[in-house]
Amino acid sequence: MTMSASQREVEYLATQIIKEEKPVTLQSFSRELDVHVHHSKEVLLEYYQKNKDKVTASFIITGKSSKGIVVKLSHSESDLEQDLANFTEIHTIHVYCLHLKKISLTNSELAFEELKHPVDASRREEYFKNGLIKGPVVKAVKLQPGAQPIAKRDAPARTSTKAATPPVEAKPVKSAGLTSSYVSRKQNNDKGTGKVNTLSNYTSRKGEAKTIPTKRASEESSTGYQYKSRKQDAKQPKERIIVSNSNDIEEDFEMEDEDSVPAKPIKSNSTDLEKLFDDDNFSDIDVDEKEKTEEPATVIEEQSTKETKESEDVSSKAISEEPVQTITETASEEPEEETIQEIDEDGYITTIKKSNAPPKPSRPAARAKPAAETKVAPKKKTDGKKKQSSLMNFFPKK
Amino acid sequence: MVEYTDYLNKGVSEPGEVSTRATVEYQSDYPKRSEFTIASNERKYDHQFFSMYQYRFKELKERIFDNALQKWGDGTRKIDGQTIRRQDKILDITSGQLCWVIGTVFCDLKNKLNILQDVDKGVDDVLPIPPDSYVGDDEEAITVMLEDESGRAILHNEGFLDKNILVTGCIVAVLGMEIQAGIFEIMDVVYPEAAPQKPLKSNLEGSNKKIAIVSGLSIDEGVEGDLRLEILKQYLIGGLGSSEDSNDTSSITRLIIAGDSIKPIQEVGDRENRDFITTNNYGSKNISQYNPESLIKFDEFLSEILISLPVSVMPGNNDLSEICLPQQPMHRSLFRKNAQYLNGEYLESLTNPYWFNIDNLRILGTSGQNVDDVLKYLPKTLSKLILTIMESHIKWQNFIPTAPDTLYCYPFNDKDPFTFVDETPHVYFAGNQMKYGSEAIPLKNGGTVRIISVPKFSETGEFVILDLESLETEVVKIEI
Repeated sequence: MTMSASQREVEYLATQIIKEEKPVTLQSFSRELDVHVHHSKEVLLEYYQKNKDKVTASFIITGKSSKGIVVKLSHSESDLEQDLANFTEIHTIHVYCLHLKKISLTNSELAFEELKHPVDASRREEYFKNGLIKGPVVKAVKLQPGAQPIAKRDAPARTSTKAATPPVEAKPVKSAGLTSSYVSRKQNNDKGTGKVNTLSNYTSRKGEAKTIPTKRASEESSTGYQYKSRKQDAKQPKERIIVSNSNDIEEDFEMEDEDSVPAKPIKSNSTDLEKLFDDDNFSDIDVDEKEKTEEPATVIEEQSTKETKESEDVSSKAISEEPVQTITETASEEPEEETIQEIDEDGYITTIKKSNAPPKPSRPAARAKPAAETKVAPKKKTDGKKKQSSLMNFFPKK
Repeated sequence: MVEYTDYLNKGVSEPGEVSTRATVEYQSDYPKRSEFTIASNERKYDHQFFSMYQYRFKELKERIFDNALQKWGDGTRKIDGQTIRRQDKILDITSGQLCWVIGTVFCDLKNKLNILQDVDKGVDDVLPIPPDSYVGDDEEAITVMLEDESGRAILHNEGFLDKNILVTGCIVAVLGMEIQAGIFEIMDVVYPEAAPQKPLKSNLEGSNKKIAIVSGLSIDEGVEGDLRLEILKQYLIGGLGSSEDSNDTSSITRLIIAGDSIKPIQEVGDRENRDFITTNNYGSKNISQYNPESLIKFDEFLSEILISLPVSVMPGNNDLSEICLPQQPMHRSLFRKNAQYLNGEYLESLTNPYWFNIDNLRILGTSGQNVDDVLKYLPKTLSKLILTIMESHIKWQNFIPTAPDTLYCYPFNDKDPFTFVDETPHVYFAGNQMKYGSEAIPLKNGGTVRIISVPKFSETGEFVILDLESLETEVVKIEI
């Protein structure tokens, strides 16, 4: 050894290894003391050879075997000879790590030790000076100028999706307006399809459509308390909104990747979604049913801030609609004998009779409508007659 | 006996100057670069896969036809007194008549995933676990068929099929004879003419520039680091070995990480009994397979390497990318603090597969799913078959024939990016293999393809160095 370790280096090794009982690796030594790696190799070897009684070392052997280049870590000097047997050509052997004999280091502990000395990109030049290979200059890549407009474009895109999604989200609300068990069922149908379409990464939707409806239906029919269930439903749009938002975010992320993602496809997507829901409505449920359910939904959308007003609205509506529920129940039981017998049986007699009488005549008319299958619905909002007729219409079908 | 003391700190001397890494010109603009990139608004599944097969067939048919006609002729040559005829369609094959016909191979194997079975069991919306092998217990049950739009014929001749691998999706011409209804005794096979190779005019003469390819780092989420990773890092940036060693590593111009950088969390418990019909979206069925900790560690690994060496990262089967081939680049947010360098010449997040273009050298790389999948078609999984399969990929002129049959894939419309249409690469590597292997495959039309099987680093501690000029490869093994 021609070169000897400086005072500072020896002191560092002594405090680290002997006092603190910590391992010192080649890399940590070089980085901590800002010395060249080759110099570190020499210092570490020298220190090891002078303190063999207390300190043990692991070595790196570089060279070639019959298969190719080999970089071998030997855990102690005594292993070296054996490890060398596999080499056909040896480049060098140098110390990798020094530590006290009494502490034994596992490989992972050693690796963990190395992780304590992470690189600091600002010290690159130092590292190169100390023997690391100087690579090309690292440049932080700014997001390409094209990316900026994307961010801007994002905004309209997002709003467009948002603007487009509310109708989708609103649907559960609509159905929520009706609190009869039947309505809740519809809502769940909607929900099922909606989720499948928006969240592709969920593993299984099976059974949900089946389990929820029955559960909820039983719950709601048992409470029978209109206002409460309405509130519960008012929460649901929130959930849905979250869902669609997360979808938005995903898309945004992807848009960052691509240089230009026109807002159009998204729009069309959302409209597609809408259509999908529309279809569902038409296929699953009578048109008249939809018309009825749409009414509360608009109320919610417009007056979302004035909840009290809304609730009043709803409650008043609910009262007027309660008969509907009973009708549907009785109707399903005795579809043909609609009016007269019920009056006799039930306690609500009078109210039922009033609401019940009109549907009869209007029934044939209602039947004609679904055949046409058009969105006549929204126009005839307040028509109580038609609501009922539609319900009646549904049950005989089944 | 070698005296180790002779080698202690041999060649370790402080050089006066900073050693500088070799560089090659970064080519950011070439057509094949975005061959497998799919714009986010085009990742649609509303096409039929048929279009892909149709394109593949159309594209390769003519190239096979010329080769086959040259070899077998049509009514001009005889084998054992029998005249060889060409048949347009499989349906036209007449019994006892020696003929050749072009078609698509289809393998019917017992353990192939079957969506119809899943529907039957009601688990069709749960991602099935791919089997380790598609071949069932009964090796006899392998049925290889040739089909076209007119019909199917079962290919028979065990000895021949053992030597010549044919898997679903390959387009080939077969010579043989129908020995009984529907069974075609295969005697010979002709592959498509190889697509031309770009002339290899290197500017690197004598410059001794290299690239390193590593795959399957499988960085764990545990607190303990993998010491081999540390040594790999230090070796690549020049901290280990003699001056000669760091001189060698300074000729490495780029590190390609070919997939599976992150180790997914092992699934706990048997999946069969897991509750997939729960209504709770945050329950056991939707637990992430990944631990952010491993990403952080991967990021640290990258930032350490990036100090000195440019890196290209391809996603693999276990990475955070979609399951469908071609896998799209890993998202920039996964690169955390290194995201600032992303997609400059320093750090690239690439697709899998990817066409590299390094100084006019065309390198096609995959993360190995295509090789693994073909292995599943074969009765015995042998590491020596890896190179044979990769050679077959070149022969078939399609390097992922089993997509979309057994590998998930985007339904490309009238396109098949996995078929060599206009170009055959100079170098073709597949990552995450059991074993290192490298071979030069001569092409019939001149030129050679260097195929490299890159082993999993986490299992072997090996990575591969490719010389950009001579196309020779070398494996570096890190032992602890």
